[in-house]
Amino acid sequence: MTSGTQIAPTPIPPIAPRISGRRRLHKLGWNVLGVIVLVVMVFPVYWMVATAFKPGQKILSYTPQWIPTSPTLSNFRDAVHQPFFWDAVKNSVIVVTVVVALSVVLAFLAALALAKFRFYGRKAFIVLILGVQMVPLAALIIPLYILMSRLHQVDKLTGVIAMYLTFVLPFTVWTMRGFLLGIPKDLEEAAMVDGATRFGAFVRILLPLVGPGLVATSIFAFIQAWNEFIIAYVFLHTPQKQTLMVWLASFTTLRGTDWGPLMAGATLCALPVVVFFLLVQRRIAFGLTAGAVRG
Amino acid sequence: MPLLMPIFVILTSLSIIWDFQVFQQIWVMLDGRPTSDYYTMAIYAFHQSFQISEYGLGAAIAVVMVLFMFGATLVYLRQMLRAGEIR
Repeated sequence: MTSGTQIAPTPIPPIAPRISGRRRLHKLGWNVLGVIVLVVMVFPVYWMVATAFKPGQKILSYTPQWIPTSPTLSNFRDAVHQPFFWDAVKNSVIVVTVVVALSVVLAFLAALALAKFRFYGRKAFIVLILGVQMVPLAALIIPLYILMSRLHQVDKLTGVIAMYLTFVLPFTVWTMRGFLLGIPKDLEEAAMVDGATRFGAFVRILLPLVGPGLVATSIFAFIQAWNEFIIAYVFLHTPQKQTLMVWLASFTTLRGTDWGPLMAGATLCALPVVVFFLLVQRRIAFGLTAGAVRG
Repeated sequence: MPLLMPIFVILTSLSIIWDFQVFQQIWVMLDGRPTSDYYTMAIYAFHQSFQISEYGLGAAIAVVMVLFMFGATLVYLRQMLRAGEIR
């Protein structure tokens, strides 16, 4: 259809929005509140990045410097040249990769069973998965530490990986289940009616559909494992074996804190999380609703 | 509001559970040496077990902490069941 043949719709006289002054004030008030909340949320992050770019003597000046006027990269240089930075990066990458790979595969299989099959004790299992996430890590860590020290896994990355799975897995199973429930059973059944085997239906129908869910779940797992602190802090003593988060905490020393490089290091550590989040943020919004609360 | 109620209950119970176990922020800011004024239960348990090696006492504190949280967890799980989340 070209625009020439289109019949112009009769213009509807615009209904003047009759918002009374009071109502407008009301709306303004809510908007201002929204902006304030936004600022409160964003400011710490901004301050971290801003401090990372400030030269040393300006960081602790009494008049706060809102925008770094003479930005410098020296803090980043210092952070990267801190002892054990690259060790920490390597360790973090190893731990996170293994945890994500293992947890996504295991969680996918478990969630498949929970979402697609009926078996005795299934509901109890789901309740358990939800409930176990509510146990604080700081409480869990004492028995686990004793257990792991008996297995000689303290101060080893394998021990930390095993520990991480204890809290990443319940979460990933739950999220994965949410995604799988969103796929109607009819699709698989239709494929099987058309002659696909159960496995064929799984590979050709279910897997492509659940792909976004797999990606989102692995990002969740990534963020959790990447940001974890207590376990790594307790389990890894030797500096060469520490992960990035423990390495970051080592900036706070008895003699005070070296804020510039600390903030630069923190910015560097936050970067992968932010990048991954941006890559999948739309799916994460969906994943949150699919996995957590569906009203 | 009545429609949003279940979500409020879920979020409130989750928030109670999560905020009850605050550890990292306090720990890192005070460089692993918080005085008892700054103790949360998580920090208390951690201090007892890993800094003065009273693992038994630490574990006991942790158990008490879990028991405290049990109430909130029950509210959360019940609401999830009601919302039809657990099928």
